[in-house]
Amino acid sequence: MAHRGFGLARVGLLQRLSTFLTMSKKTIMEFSRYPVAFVATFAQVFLIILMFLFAAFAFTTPGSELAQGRQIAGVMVYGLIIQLFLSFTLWEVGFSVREEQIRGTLESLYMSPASRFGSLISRIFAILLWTSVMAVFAVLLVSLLVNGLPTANFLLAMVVLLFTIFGLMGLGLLMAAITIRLKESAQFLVSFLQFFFIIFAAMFFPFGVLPDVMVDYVSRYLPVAYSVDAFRSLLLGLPAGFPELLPLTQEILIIVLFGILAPPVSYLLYKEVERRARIQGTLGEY
Amino acid sequence: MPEIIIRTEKLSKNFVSKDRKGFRSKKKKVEALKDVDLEIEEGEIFGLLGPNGAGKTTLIKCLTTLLIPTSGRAWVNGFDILTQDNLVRASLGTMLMGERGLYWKLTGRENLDYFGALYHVPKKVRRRRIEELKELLELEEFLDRSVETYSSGQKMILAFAKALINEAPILILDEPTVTMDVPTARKLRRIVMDLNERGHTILYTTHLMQEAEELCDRVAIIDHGEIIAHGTPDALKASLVTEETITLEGVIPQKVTEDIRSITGVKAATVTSEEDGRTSVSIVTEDSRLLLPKIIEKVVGNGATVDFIKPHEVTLEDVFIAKTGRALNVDTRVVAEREGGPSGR
Repeated sequence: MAHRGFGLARVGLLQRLSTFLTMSKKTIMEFSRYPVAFVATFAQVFLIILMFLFAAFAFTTPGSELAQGRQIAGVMVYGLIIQLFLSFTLWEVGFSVREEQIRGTLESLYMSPASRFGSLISRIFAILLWTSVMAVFAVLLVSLLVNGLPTANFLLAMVVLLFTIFGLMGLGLLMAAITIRLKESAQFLVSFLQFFFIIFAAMFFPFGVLPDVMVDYVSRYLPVAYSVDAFRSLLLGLPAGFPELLPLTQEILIIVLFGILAPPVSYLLYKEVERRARIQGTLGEY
Repeated sequence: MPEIIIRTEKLSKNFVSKDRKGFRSKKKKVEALKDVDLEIEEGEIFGLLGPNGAGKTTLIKCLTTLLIPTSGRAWVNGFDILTQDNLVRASLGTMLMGERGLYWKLTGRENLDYFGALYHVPKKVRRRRIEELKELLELEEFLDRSVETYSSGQKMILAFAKALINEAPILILDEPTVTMDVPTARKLRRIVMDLNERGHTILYTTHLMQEAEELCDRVAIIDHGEIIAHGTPDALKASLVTEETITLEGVIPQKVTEDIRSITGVKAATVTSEEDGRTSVSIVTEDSRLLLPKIIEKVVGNGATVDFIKPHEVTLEDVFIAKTGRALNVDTRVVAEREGGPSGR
């Protein structure tokens, strides 16, 4: 059989990296074409923070507002950071895969030799960049409101956050697979999961608030719960009773394993779902 | 002798579809492709013809690796579609789904740049290629506008440009002229022929027989997922043992019609209409090319005045009708539904 090359394509490592950057740039560019959604999302995050903060202030003991206010704000805002990364990864990856399925661009992507992994990661990468900006602003805003947030063990907390983000990338890939399988029903699942994690990973309150049965039978099985616990415990300066689930070293070990294992395991699952979609012809169904 | 650049061997694709009625659903097996054997030569324009739902798009989706076939094998540009799918994709420029498959919030240029990157075309080369395509396809007027502002025809042209961005050796074009106006469709066909002259192999699907006759070196007719005929358009037409019809219009006395009937090879001569002294005569012959001079001689020699002669030549549509008993504008899925048989996608 004849082989007549690949036209203008140049399949080297540098070109693949350049393709990855173009894919990320395209995701950001598409975001920027929805300015109202862009601003509303940003504003919404701050409104959520303020809502929780003011509710928390209402229950602080009179006379010790400042110290307690900082602690409560820390618990909330550091939980919120993990929540932001989690919800944007789950929501936006699922949403963008579904959007592409509806528009037909998912099939265009699948007809190209570009890496599927690269394509999904580029989406997540762009989303994470955007979420990081929001997270920084959220911390600054709350810090301003409570005259400075506790930021002990900053570097170790960032390592925890980094591995958490890797793990969340895995969840993003999982969400992409679920979206290809369930189509728009996946969006309802995302809404459910967001609230599920807010409650069971104790994102806006200490785990001590949860009934033991919920912690023992659900929270302890969620790697994200250890991320929330370790991240905020570290930044709050490991106050008495923190971390709440396990000793810090064990929590960090779980988070590192989560960060290392979740992306490849989820990608394998994604590949299998994709293979089934190619068998069933559902990849481009809309 | 040209080498084979696309080959399929007993390629089959089954789907399971669900018929829903209220809360109940019933699964149904659909055979979209049945043992398709096809060989496409390097450097040819190969037409895949068939009505809607015949299996054209399913076959193309298998060749572009979007679908995994149920059984059989296929090779594109020397690569196996199952085990070397990424190399297959890198070998193709594809226009599928028409105007779908574009990012509506991005401009035409941004779309081309993005898809060029997906095909690993280096940035500088992409820029140059986009400029070339702008000239070739006259994109200048709308290239830097958001795709959401495009007309259907402009979106189709951009989708065509997208298929050309990587200058792949093989182009797969699935009904590319659907929704295009006549001049734009004509322009696209001209470009397809130019690309072919420059060495690109083109697999072109259409349900427009005239388009296939104008463009294709060889065609395959697909119906209910099966290739029912293939060859050059001329060979396919010649393969039909059929009668040919000539229509004469003018002032033609009744006697002349009888004289025409007496010519050897004329099977019938029938007056089809008479109005204001003008007559239309339909003449059925075995070979209209051979008999037309004799018919004219007979008509003119008997004092008739002929002002319009319309020979009706065999078309690919006639081939399709002869093979399937149906006209091409019938949706195969509807027929299959009525007959209780399988249908393509």
